[in-house]
Amino acid sequence: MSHVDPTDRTLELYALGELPPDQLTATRRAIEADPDVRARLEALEASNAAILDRYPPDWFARTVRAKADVQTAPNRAPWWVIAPVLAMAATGLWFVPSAPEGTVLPETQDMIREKGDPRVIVYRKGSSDPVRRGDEAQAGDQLQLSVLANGAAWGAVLSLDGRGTVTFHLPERGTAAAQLEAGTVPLPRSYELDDAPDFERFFFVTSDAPFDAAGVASALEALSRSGDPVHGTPALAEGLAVHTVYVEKVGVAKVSP
Amino acid sequence: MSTDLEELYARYGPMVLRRCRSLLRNEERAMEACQDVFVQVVRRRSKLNMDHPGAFLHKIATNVCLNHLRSRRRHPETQDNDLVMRIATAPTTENQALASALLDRLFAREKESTRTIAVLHLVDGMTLEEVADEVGLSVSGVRKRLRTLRAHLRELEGV
Repeated sequence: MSHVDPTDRTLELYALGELPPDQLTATRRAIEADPDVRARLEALEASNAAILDRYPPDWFARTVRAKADVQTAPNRAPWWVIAPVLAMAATGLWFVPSAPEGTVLPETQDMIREKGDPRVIVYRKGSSDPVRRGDEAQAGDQLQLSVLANGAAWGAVLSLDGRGTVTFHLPERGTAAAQLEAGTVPLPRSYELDDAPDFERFFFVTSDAPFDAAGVASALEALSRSGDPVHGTPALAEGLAVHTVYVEKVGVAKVSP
Repeated sequence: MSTDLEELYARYGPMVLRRCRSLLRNEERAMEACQDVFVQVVRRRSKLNMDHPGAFLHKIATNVCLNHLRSRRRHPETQDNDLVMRIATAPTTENQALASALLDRLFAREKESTRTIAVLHLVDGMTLEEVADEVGLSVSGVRKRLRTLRAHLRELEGV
């Protein structure tokens, strides 16, 4: 007797014991008749064990509760404080974010563990998903930048656009690198993209010692004159590390080749 | 059905993660989407469909993944899953609701989005009749929904 090859979804529900009665008979017939279908079912069961081993229930539940607590905390913090919490919880990083004095943060877990390199995180206003390299943006978009020091002591955030203009985001004044705090820290001001074409690229430059970011600005200006300002590496002084995120500008006439 | 999150995840989490993997083709993003599915469950546990949680969570996972894809737009890693990306970003006549509003519709048992219907038919291989049963529409209703995407998806020729 021939049988219909069950879909993945059908086998999943069968394995859970939740397949509707009208589909159960046909699925059982397929399992009994076809060794490939039986193999798929066995693979599901093996996969269950592998997933729970790799992502244990207690870790998963803790991560989800932290995300849910942040999302449901009413008016406790502006979106630009909540968004980094969501992003970090999703990646498994745990932190205590800093915020302006007087801001009430949702009670998060007491597990403090940071890993990885310093990084800049860019959010588009209204979205809890961080901007990823190469995401599209346009003039008028409001971006909120946050930095995660991951152990670095001093840092500066600059951006380079398609016109070769370098903009300081951190420090707010002068060019001396700012002393960094632990955790993910949003910069005080959001940033509105102008009509510069092609791209806007953000650089978070860090060091274990104080430094003058004027040298970083010069390096970025040189990078803008190089053949690859979007993907190229700026020539920074020894001891400086850099993490970058860029957005591709749309809706603006392209001027680069 | 227990609402204890650890137990819920242990029973349904692997299925949800496999679903997210199949649509997003990226382990990190699939785990992020899987977490988002259960965040929705935690937030809306009083409205959770307790009768068939597996099918319900499978649907939520589809919606969450489509939302993730739409928010990411073009990205090199998604080229391998071009059909799903084209479904996710194809315009429809429906309101371009935000992710949470779309999930609200699921929990309120309103009609499935056209994109989800397209995924069930074109990606999961369900027949029009199976899709109709799943989403609570007639077969002609499913066809009508899919026609709104036809101009953008050649796979729907003849629907």
